This record gives sequence, structure tokens and C-alpha cells, in this order.
Amino acid sequence: MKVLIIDDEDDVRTISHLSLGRVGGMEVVVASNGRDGLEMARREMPDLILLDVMMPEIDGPATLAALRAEATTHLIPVIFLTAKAMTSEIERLKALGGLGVITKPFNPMKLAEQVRAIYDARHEHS
Amino acid sequence: MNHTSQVEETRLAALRAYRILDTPEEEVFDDITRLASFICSTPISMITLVDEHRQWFKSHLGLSITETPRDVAFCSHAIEQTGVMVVPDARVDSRFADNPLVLSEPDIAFYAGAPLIAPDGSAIGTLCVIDRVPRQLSSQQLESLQALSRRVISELELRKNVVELKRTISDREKTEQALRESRARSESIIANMINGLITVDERTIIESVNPAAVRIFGYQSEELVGQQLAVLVPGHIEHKGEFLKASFKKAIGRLTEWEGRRKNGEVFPFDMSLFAFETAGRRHFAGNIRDLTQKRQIETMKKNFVSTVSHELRTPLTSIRGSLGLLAGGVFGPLPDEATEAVSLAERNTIRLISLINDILDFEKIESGTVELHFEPVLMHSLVERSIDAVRGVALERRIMIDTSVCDREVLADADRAIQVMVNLLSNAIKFSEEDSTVTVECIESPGWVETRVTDRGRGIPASHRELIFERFQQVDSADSRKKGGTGLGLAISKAIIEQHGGSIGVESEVGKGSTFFFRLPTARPRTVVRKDVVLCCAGSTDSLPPLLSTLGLGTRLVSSPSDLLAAMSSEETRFVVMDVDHLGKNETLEILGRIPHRQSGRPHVLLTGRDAADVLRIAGDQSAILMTTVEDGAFLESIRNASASAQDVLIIEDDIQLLEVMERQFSLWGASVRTATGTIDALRLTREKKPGLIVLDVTLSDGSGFEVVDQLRGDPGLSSVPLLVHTAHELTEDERSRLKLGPTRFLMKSKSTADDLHRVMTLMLDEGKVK
Repeated sequence: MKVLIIDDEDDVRTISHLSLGRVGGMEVVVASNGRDGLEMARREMPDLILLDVMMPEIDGPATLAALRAEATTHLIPVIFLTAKAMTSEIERLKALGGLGVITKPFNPMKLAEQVRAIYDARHEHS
Repeated sequence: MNHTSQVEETRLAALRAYRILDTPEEEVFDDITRLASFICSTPISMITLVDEHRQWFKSHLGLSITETPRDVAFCSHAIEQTGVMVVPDARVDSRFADNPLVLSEPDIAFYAGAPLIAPDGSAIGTLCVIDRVPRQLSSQQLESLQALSRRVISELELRKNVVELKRTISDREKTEQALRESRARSESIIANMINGLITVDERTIIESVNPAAVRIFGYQSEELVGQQLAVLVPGHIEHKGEFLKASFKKAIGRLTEWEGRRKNGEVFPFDMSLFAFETAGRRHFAGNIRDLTQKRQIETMKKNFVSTVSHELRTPLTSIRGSLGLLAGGVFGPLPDEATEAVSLAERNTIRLISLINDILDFEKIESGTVELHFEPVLMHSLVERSIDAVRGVALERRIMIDTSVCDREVLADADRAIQVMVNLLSNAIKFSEEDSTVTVECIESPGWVETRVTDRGRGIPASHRELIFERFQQVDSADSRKKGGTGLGLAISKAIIEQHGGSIGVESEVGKGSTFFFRLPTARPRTVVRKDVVLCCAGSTDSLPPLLSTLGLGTRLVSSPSDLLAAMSSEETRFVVMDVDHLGKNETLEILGRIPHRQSGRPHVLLTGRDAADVLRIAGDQSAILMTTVEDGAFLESIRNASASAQDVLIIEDDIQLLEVMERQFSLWGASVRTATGTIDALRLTREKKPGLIVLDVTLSDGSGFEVVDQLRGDPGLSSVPLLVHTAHELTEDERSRLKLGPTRFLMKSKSTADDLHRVMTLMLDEGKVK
């Protein structure tokens, strides 16, 4: 399973990379902003994108919209990663078309499990 | 005081009023004595004034002394007569023969004195003539003497008037000066006030604005004076001040919040304390205005501060927790034992820090009311089950049994939040229980409430801590947070959540035996279906309604056929039905109106639109649930809004203004639209203006009693069924209670009831009203 992580925080990206790669055994590619993320998604065609919500310039929701607007990327499922844990925020992100929402700080030993669980359950949602 | 001394008092007062005693000699008076002396051919003439002890001479021609004691004075006698007193020869007059003034200097033989009569009739002295030889005066001389005595008085009067005039003038000047100063003072205060001050007349036409008001609204004072106040308060312009006038009457003497509009179009919040005053019989209002823009910005900043901070903290914590977690998880290979311990310690504390941040944010949101709770009827049983599921793992770990009794009542609650409270109480109970013991959960029903009790058999809580533990960061033992985990916010959050539900939370405990935490949630009345305010429309010109109605928070369903319409109307969810008569046809509409289903929640409100709506309404007759309206009309939204709000409309009648304000605020918070009255007259007027969903009535009122209000309303067939909550400080007798019955009536004693009780009863009674 190939996952693209888009997050502007270098440290957080390192952790999620390790969590998904080393712990979860997934193939991981990373991008540090929405623009690079789009480019990477087109090139790498990942099975899933882990997308940070708060990023400068093109934020998570805008990146998602751009992904959906393109024929090549519009079917790639996206899981949001957010530091806002409010129920209303989670509802909002789901309504935008996120497959799921994972809140920071996450448990690095369980992130991959969580991601896989959301990914596997995607057909029940749609 | 006898008559004589009273006369003497008056006389002395008249004399003193002239302020003439002991003044220097003056030519005017000397001329008079000279004249008198000349006319009467006497060597001596005097103007004498008699005070308590002496006679004093204002003018003394032919005599050098200026006063003599009163007891030897001839004049003392003269002033007691009305006419001129003549003593032809004092030496042979028994009254004066031994008088020292006769026996020696000035050797008086002849005396004639005309009394000086002040306008009030008091004789204050004499004008007299004296000779050293006996003699008589002719009648002409006597008359002249009297005439001259009157001249003396007129001279004295003249002076007195001049003095008084001067004093009046100076008084007036002083008053004017004082007025000028006071006015300057007021003007300077008004001009330098930080608050805006606007005065308007009875039609809310602006009469004056102070510089602060000019600053706040951005208009020049000339641009505002003479304008309708509505230019500054948007949303009221179309009412031409009518609404403002009504609002003003309500706002007098209180601090009320308004939305204002500046000249540049910016809409901003302000608060205003309003008072009324009268000048020359005309009524005015003055509003003391504070711009709340900045205050609101600060509030928003404050509100966002906690969430911003917690968000900012989360990002670095993600990295820390992540690194530690990966280390502890052995991702980078096995660690030496001590390192494992240190890393897991760091990880544990990081996680604790994260829960602290979460709890602080959560508490802040709930307490400030920024988080919206979604109340719905939910089975208490399912709340308990779901909560136990969440703690089952921990309970198993500590080998603790959870014993529950089933409760099949529905409570009105936000399920997630209620479970949060329940889980918090359960995990506390588990944490503080001995291993292998039992935690009991039981539910007790009472009218209007379900009380849930969580009992542990732990060490108990000392009485001194039982209140404190519901405060932030107050644990019984400060070591607990380290040993047992937890942030010290759990109970504070639980309390905030339960209070937002209108319920209460508490603890009973016995040290060494265990504790019982309990909370009360309001029951959802089983027969009340909580309806989403759905509006049903039959397609036609009503197509534009859904967006319009969503502004009122109402959902809309469009149906196209009459049979669908009837089917949907029997749903309890449907509160309003809008029918386009032109689309359905007159006959079809009438047919549907005749078949409106009766439901538990009563019939839906029907609104008719279209050209033929009036016709249909006439034929259908007076069916109270039917309203005619046109969709395009702004009145449409108004009628929906009114119909929707009427069930929540509470009229509070209470003469204690402070209590009234508190109640108004509370009832508004509880979602009621509130009107208030302090006396019977207002109470009756407001009730007749619009039938309230509930009347809350105090028995003693400013201008009468609650009994009168009830008597009057009972006589009105439209109003005799209004639900009534009697809220009184007095114990009422059975008889009094029966006299206070209106529609469904309940009684609450002020001293024995809490805000919770009021809230519960309000909800209950409004609900009952709806079901009817």
C-alpha cells in the first residue's frame, strides 16, 4: 500500500513517515505543501493520501478540492490529519469529502493501523 | 404669647424691616422735622423710632441727645394712639409731671406726636414737635403734622423697596450665575463623556447628540438632529420608529443591547441605558451609549485564545509523542531497561499533557457555552450501557464488577456529552475502588427527572472536599493525578455539561466506605415527539420557500400530489403546511382542509397562498389554524415565525424589577421568547395583545395582585386556558390556590424552588401546551 503524506511540519512528517513506513510497513512518499502534494499525487498515484489540514497557501481542504478537480487524482481517498479535535471540525472535514479524520497528536505505533482501518472501511462509507 | 406681645412683635419686625435704627442723620428726614417745627412754631421737632428698650431719633431738630430710654419717652404713649397725641402742658399732666424730661433738660412742657404708621398698621415711632412752654396746635397744624408723618413712612418704604429691588436683582443675578455654571458643568460633562449621549423626543426624533455619539456614529451633529433615530439603528427604518418606540418603553431603566449603523455603513454592537425625562410637559428619552465593538473583539480574542494556544501546543507535542512512542515501541531496536523506563515515563507524561490540553479546551468550550449541545430524547438505559462499554476494559483490568439496574425512561440530553459525564464518573469510581469490588449504577425516577447514581466502595471523600472536587484542578489528594491519572478537570467538565442540560450534579460520601456521585437529567416526556420544525409545501409558487425558510432554521419538504400532502401531514414532524391555492385549485384545497389529520401534537398550522386564498378561507370558515398569506410578502416569514414562536412565548409578571430581570435572562437562555410586566394593567394588555404559551405570575404586583389578573383572564374565553405558573413568596391556602387557577396551573414557592425547578416546569408546561 502506497501512502502520500502531505504536511508542512517537517517533524510531524518525519514521525508519520516512520509510523506508516517502519511500523506499518507501507510504502510512503511525502510532500511539504499542497502544490508539491498535487504534483506528487499525479506522479506517484498513491492508494491513499494523509493530508494535513492547516498549511500555508494551499491548505488541506483546498488541496483536496484540487485533487478532486483532476481526472487522474479525483478517486484517491484522502484522510485528514488535524490538530483541532472538536467534533464540529471533524464533521466539517468529513463533509468536505475526507474519508476519515485522524487527530494530532496521534499514537505513532497505531497510526498505520488507524489508517488501514479507515481505508478498509471505505466501501461501507460510500 | 398674648395679643399685646404679638402686636409688639409685629411692630418691632416692621421697624427692623426698614433697617433705619442707628443710621447717620440724613437731610431728607431733617427737612421733614424742620418743616414740622416751622409749621407748628416749636423749637424742637424729632423723628423718633421706638424699639424694645429705647426711642432713637433719626432726626432731632433743636435737641442734642439722640436717644432716651423707652420708659420716659412720650412717644411710647403716642404710638399707642391712632391720631396725634397732644400734651398741652406736661407739668400738670399726671402721666408726665414727674418725667425727668419735664423736670430737667430739655424741660418739655408741650408735646404733640403723630404716630408713624407702617403699611401693616404698626406704629413704629412718631414725628413729634416739642416746646418748653405750654401751648395748643390748630387743626391745620395737626393735619400737617400727620401728613408729614406719612411722608416719613413713604420715605422709609421707598428705601425699603429700593433695597429689596436691589436684593432681588442681585439674587436673580446669583441664580443666573449659578444656572450658567451648572449648565456649563453639565455641558462640559456631556461633551467630555466617553459614552455617547443621544436624546430623542417621543417620536424618537433625535434632539441632541454629544461629541462621543458623533464619534461613535460618524455623523456630524447637524446631520442627526431632527432625523429619526432609526437611521442609527438599522432594521428599524421600515417601521418608522414604531418598533423603536415600543422597544424604548421596554428598555427604560435597563441596560439593553442594540445594533447600530455608522455613517460609513458599518454595523456594530452597542449597549444603552435609557431613561425618560420630561421638560415643559413633553416626554423625552436619553440614551447613554457604549460602543461594544472593541469589547466584542477582545471577547472573541479571549474566546479563541484557549483554542489557539491548545492548537499551537499540539503540533510540537505530536512530534514529541511520536518520537517517544516510536522509541518505546522498539522501532529503532531494543532499548536498555533503564532507557525503556525513562522513555515510557516521558511518553506517559506527554500523553497526560495532551489530555490536559484537551480537557482545558473542552471545559472552556462547555463553560463558555460555545459548544452547542444537541438535545434529543434518549433512553437512559442506552446511555448507561454505552458508558459501561467504554470503561469495561479498565474495569476488567482491576477486576471490578459493574452492577446496573435497568432504567427505561427517556431523558432529554446530548447523548455524547451525557456519556462523557457517565464515563467520567464510572472511571473515577473504578479508579478509586479496591480491586475485586463492585461499582453500582442505579437510576431513580422522579417527576421530571432521572437521577443516575454511581456508587463505589472506595475510600470516600472528606466532607470538606465534597464541594471543591467539582472545581477545576481540585483533587482530594494532590498525588492522585500522578498515581491515578486524570487531569483534575473531569468533574468540572461533568458539572458544566450537566448544568448546560439544566440538571444538577453532586456527591454523597462516607469516609472509608465509599462515594456516590449522582446527576439529574430532565426526562423527555414520552408522548412528546420532538419535532424538527418541518414545513410542508405543495409545489407551485411555493417553490421559492425552502431557502427562505431555512433562514428561520426550518426544514422544508416539497410534495406534489394532494395524497402525498395528506400522508405527510399526518407525520408528527410537520408543523406547518403551505398550500398554493392557485396550484391545487380551490376545490382540492377545500377538500384537503376538510381532511387534515388529528395527531398527538395537534393539527399543523396551515398557510394558504395564491390569488384565491381569500376565497378558500371564506368558504372554509373560521378554522383557527389557517392563516392566509402570500409568499412574496414579508409578512409570510413573520407569520411562520409567530406561529413557530407562540408556543415558546412566556409572559413573566413580577413586581420585583431585579428578580424580573434575572428571570427574563434565564427564560431567554432556556429558549423562550420573553415578555415582561410589573403590574396588572401591563400584564392584561400584553396577554390580550398576543396569547402567551405560558404565564409566570407573582401574586403581589405593583398596582394590584395576581388574583385580579387571573380573574380578568378567566372572563376572557380566548385566554382562560393559558397555562399558568404561580411563582410566589407566600404560602397559599387551598382557597387562594383555587382562585389562582387558569389553564393548566402549577405553583412554585420562590424560597423553595431553584432555577432548575423553574426551567423544568417551564419546559414541562410549554411542552404540554404544544401537545394540546
